[in-house]
Amino acid sequence: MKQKSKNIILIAIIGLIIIAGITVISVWGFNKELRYSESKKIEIYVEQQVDVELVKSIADEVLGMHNMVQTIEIYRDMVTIRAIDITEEQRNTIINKLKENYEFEQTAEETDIVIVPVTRIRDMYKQYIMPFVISAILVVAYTLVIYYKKGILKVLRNVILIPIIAELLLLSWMAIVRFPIGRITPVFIILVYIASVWYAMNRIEK
Amino acid sequence: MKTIKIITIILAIILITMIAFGGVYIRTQNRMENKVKSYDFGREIKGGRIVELKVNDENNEEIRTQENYEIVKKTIEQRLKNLGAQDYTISLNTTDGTIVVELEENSNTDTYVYFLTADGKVQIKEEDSENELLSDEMVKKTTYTYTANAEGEYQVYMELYLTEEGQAKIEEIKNNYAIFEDEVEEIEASREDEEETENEETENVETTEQTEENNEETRKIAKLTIAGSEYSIDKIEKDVIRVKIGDETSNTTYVNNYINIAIELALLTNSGKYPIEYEMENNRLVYSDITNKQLLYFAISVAAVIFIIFIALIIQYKMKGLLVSLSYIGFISILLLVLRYANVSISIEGIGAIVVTLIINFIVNKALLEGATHTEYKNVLLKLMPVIIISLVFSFAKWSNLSSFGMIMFWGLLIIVIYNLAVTKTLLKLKESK
Repeated sequence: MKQKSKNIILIAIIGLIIIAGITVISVWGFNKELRYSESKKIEIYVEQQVDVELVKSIADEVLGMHNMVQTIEIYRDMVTIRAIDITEEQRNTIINKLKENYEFEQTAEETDIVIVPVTRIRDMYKQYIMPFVISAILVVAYTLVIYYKKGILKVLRNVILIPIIAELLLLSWMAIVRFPIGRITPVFIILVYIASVWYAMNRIEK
Repeated sequence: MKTIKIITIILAIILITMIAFGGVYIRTQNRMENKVKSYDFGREIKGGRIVELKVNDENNEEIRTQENYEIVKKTIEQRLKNLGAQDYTISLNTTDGTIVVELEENSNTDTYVYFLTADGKVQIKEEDSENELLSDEMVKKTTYTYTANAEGEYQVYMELYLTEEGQAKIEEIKNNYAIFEDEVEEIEASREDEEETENEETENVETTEQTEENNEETRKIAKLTIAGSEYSIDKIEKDVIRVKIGDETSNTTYVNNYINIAIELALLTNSGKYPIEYEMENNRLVYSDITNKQLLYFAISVAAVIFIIFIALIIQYKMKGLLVSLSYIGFISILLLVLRYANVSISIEGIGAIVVTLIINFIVNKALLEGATHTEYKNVLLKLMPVIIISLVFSFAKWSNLSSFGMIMFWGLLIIVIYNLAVTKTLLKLKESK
């Protein structure tokens, strides 16, 4: 009875998290990493090799922590600074601070603030879908072969439902805590999938 | 004797670790050069080419629609897929149509960049006129082929397959225009003759009248252009226009060049049409925002966790724990060396695969420490099969981030099996039988 009530509580918590996640995604969507969000950037030709750490510290000071600094071209003598929003005042401050450390000709007036378009989530991840689906089908087929004596329905229930719930939990958690969706997201999804399949196989064996 | 064997194995592990983390330095041309191959990182860690495409100002307002921007974006994707590009991201500003393409920087990048804005239009136009006789939409697909004659000379062709509308149109063009290579040559030759006749000083009215008659009879010429260049039509059969690419030749360099041109044109024409013109605004190599320092901090964090695990193992299993910890270091060193030489590109997913491999190796080592039976081993291997399946499927994925994960997992699992059988198990056996 105790175990049953524990299971009910667990299912209720999982259900709540998933519903909350779906609600957050419907209203606000996912929080995308800066490089995939609509943002603004400025490009500065510094005329000498740039110390990225120094430029990053200037960017952090002027724009806040949520910014991206990248060097451009083979000699790294140009730098691009990207943030959700860059005002003209912020641009001018960045240029002036850089000029305290480097000598270059480009002025604030010559530096355009360019809009960088958003990358859609489907464009970010559509390449992952087919390999994921193929591997999921093969894994289900494999577990059916290994555990058919335990009952086909039981095997299917565990090896399909548990990974789905695990992934939904992960995505809901990411949406609720506003974890930036970006380059590292597929890693978490793959790791959670592997762990959930392992857990499902242990459950089937018990 | 057994102690000596254990010491020998440990010394070998130390040597491999020094090579993996330090390198092998040999004097080359008065400087010390590390002969151990360096890592190959993916686009997200190394950086890549960023190409910005803007809508050409000469386009009419009517065609500057979101729908057309999306068509161009899809066409770009299709071209990159057809070219075999394995790592790219495309973003579209739906307001002004700006498209930003991020590509991996390698020997093919310049080719990909060229294809982003290359015009793949196929059309037949009346000579010296804007009158379009056959448009792009009437061409279904293009292929290429080549033939060889008895003298070993090759001729490369492109074959344009027409739609039903195109087939009807080409019949009309054949009847009213000179379109084949020999017809066009004949007309151009007779024009040259006429010019020579007109230049003669003696006035000959009959000749002049004859010239006027000839002018009336000469058909107009229709020219085929593909991607802005003119090509000669060799044959038209039912729904196929066969176009000559280059001259007939036995020179293999020329033949290969013509084949490459044909491949390029086929790719351009088959991947879709741009309904709106774009121009390249920027084409830059941009380094990643992930710095070497950040990678180092991550590696140090992982190393710190591994170190804590080692301490726990030594406390729990004493000497056996120490031997397994040393063996684990050897495993990491061999894995890192194999990744350098197996031509594996390390992406962020690849780093995730390294972490998963380390976790799996730890599970296997724990099983070895606890003296797992054959059945327990089999159980662990059975549970690892899904991971093996995932790594094999991902290895064959065209997307380089996924194939990086798959390849690293594959090598990791292979090394886990071989290394633990050869080294870890041997060390534990030697310790037990001392």
